[in-house]
Amino acid sequence: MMRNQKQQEAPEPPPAAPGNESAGEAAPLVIADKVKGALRLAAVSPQAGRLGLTPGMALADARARIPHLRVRPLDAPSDQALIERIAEDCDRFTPVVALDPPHGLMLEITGCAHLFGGEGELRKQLLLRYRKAGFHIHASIAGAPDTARALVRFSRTPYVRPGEDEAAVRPLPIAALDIPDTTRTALSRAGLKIIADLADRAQVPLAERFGQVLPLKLRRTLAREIAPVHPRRIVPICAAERRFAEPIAASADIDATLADLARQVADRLSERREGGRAFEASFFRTDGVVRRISVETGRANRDPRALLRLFHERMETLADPLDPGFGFDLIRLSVPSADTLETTQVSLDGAANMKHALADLSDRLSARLGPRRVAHFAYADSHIPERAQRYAPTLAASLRPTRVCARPRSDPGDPPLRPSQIFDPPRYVSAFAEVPDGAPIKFGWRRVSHIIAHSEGPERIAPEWFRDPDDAQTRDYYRVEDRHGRRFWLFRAGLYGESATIPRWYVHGMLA
Amino acid sequence: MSAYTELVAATNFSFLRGASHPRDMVLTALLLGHAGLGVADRNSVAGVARAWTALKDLRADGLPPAEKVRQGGGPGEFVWVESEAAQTLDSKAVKERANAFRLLVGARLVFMDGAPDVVVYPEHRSGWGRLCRLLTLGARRAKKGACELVLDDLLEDPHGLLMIVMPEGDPGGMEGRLQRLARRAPGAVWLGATMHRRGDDRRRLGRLREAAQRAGVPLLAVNDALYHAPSERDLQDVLSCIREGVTMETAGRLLEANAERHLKPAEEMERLFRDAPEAVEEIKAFMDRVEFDLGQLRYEYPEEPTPPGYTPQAYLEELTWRRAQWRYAGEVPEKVRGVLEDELRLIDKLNYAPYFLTIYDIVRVAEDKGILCQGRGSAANSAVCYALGITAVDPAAHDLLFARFISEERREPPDIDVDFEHERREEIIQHIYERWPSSGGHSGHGDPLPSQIRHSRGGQGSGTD
Repeated sequence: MMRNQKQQEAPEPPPAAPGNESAGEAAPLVIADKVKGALRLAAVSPQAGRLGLTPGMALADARARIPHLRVRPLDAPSDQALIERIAEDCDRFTPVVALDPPHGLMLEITGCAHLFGGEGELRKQLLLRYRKAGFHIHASIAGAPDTARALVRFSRTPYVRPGEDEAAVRPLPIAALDIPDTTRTALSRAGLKIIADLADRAQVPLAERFGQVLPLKLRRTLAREIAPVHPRRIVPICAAERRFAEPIAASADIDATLADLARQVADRLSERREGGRAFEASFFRTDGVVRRISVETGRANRDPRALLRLFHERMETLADPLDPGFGFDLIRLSVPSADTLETTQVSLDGAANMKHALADLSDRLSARLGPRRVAHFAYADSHIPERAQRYAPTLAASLRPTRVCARPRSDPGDPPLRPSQIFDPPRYVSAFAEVPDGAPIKFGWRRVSHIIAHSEGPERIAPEWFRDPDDAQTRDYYRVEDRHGRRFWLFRAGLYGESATIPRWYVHGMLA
Repeated sequence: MSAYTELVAATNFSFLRGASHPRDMVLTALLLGHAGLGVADRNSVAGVARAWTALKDLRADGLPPAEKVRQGGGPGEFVWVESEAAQTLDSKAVKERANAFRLLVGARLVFMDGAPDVVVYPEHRSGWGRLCRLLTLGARRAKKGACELVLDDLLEDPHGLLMIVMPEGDPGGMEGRLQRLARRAPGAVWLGATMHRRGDDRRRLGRLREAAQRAGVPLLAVNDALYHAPSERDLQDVLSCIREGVTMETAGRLLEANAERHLKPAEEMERLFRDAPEAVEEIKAFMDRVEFDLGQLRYEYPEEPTPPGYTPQAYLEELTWRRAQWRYAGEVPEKVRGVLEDELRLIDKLNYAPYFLTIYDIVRVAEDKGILCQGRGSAANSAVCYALGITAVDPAAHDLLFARFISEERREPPDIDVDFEHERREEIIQHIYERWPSSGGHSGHGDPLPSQIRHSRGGQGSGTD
């Protein structure tokens, strides 16, 4: 079925926790929020609605009508969190779930309906699920997202047959177009009250008078044009899932399911000649809690066993263990990111696999300890020795290859200009040197005096003015060797004549 | 005043590399007491003219006057900023120094074939011509704004050019090329050594010295300056980032490690090169070789064909008198005769005869084709032009004074505009292209003619140019 189907759900009132209604039977509940300095009703309970209260009404007016009103302040972040959680749970119906504020969700169910026995059945299951959880919810299925939005908010038509979208929205008020208030007022004053009034008119004058937005919204609401849906989560490259009529909770069952899904995913990746760089297992609990566990790999991988091993590493070390609660009724394994992975031939000496083995090890360690905990030193591009390397997470480095950064040029016969390890921070030494920029003659460090036999330098490194504080000092580095053949990397911080203080000496490393 | 001269200094005409205006470079070198400055921009001689004018101003006026700098947005919110130099030197001392100061003009040739950069200074006038032709060749090969040269282009004819080879990184890699260059142009190649405090400076200097000995070329102390003062380092860093298309944070080692590439006092340079004092002494020897000065350049008018046996002046006089006979129907009035004689004398003195001949030729072609034309402009008000038929205003009748517009004091070429009938103007333009094909018309490379041609086309009255 190619029909582009959208489903909209609008739970209301969102902040009302299940069961609230019965508790407050005596006093109608409203949610109030400050709008331009005045308290207005943001949402009303069904009971309050029956008494004639509507959202947008001033709270003072509402109180005047119904003195025993129960008022709660609007808690927008919690509302948002709740709608996000519902969206998360809706992931069980389709991977493409978008937020549709206020209080709405947009589900793209193209190609998903058959899993539930058709569109009508899907809608029924969805409504049942959330009504059971205590929400007031409406859902409409239509051929375009804006059509579905208009219908669910203004007519609550449950279902529009393919090709009947336009007819379904024509009688709706123009407010259903989701246009700015000023436009709506202007249209009303012109006597254009319902969508049909606009749909039959020439579009060009409308665009001239109200801008391009109005014709666009009109086309989209009439399902003449399909607006893109922006899903909350990355739509996976491929996924495999299993639903259970009877929720499962035993870890052995979960493992077996994961193993089975890993094989399915591997097959699909293999067909695409790709390997996953990230995998995500989603566990949908019957009570609506969705737990997602993801692992990343340093190189593209589609080996089901390696994948399972990574998931086990990850699950064993979860700070907050996987809690099946009353059981999972859906488990899905998806691949959000993948790379080309051709079938490779194993070389005879197995040497090529060493690199893979290291990548696998770092994957497993990263999965167990967390991706930030497994890191390596990478060269960084800077003249400042402290900044010439950086501690980079191994996984991230392989995911996003940074600019290749070669070490400074040096001739094969030349001694290294820099030590392989440096002191952090540099150690203060007392040194004698020729003023202003001569090499040190001797220096004392840790109560040992070193007479310098050979030296080379200076290598002058100025601070990075765009990063360092203004008082950062230019350094003159010297490679020196004392009489006993010990080599040091010394620097003088500051230049004579430029700073008020007398330059100090530091040892920054030992050279081989 | 010391003998030190920075021979490799880039200005901001080394696009996105040099950070200082030629004026600042010259002034700083002067205040440091240098004997001169060698301005060499990357594949360009565009900056040297600015440096030369700056020096000329310093010679004539001493220190630049205080600059009016706006401070704040309101009217009258200005401060007069005097140049820092004023605190150390008075104008008279600056003038004195400027008169003794030598500006060497050249270019830094950057090659595409991995050859080290070569800083080139023309020895005399012909060398300058060769350098300009070389740059033209490179610029014509490349897209607009770039210059594509290979070392062989320089090797083809390096006579009259003094070359400083600037090794980048390991000196071993460029030895072969250095030797080739030294064989091709004996006595005209130097090896430039820098001491930028990069850690291995002294070791590198030793190697360069050996390489120079092997190639039989002298070592030359330079600082390869990119800006006039160390404070300009941040500006240079920003330029580098723009050039490389990176941000400051990610530029890393694309930037210079330190602020050493500025003009340094002579003592500082001598101290840096204490291992090779001969490299500093060599600067004087190098300077002595250069005879060329930008002031030697004169406008050179392309040759105007004259009949055999005639100089342009003689031909112009001959034409003028012949045409005057025709203009005044056989009887040239005494007054006009005197004016013509005066004018011809002045034209002879300033050597403008070929220019008048060019205009005459164009006007005659227009007449032959029956294209209406009319001359105007300062020099057009002359009796010569009237006689030649370039204008139709009789100076005798209107008492116009040619010498008022064209005189020795004006020090610029005479100005004759010729307006042509605009529908047929193209025919004249085509004729000009045919006559001077080398000018190419559209390219405008190097040839002095197009500017002249445009000059004469400049006021065509149709307003399409």
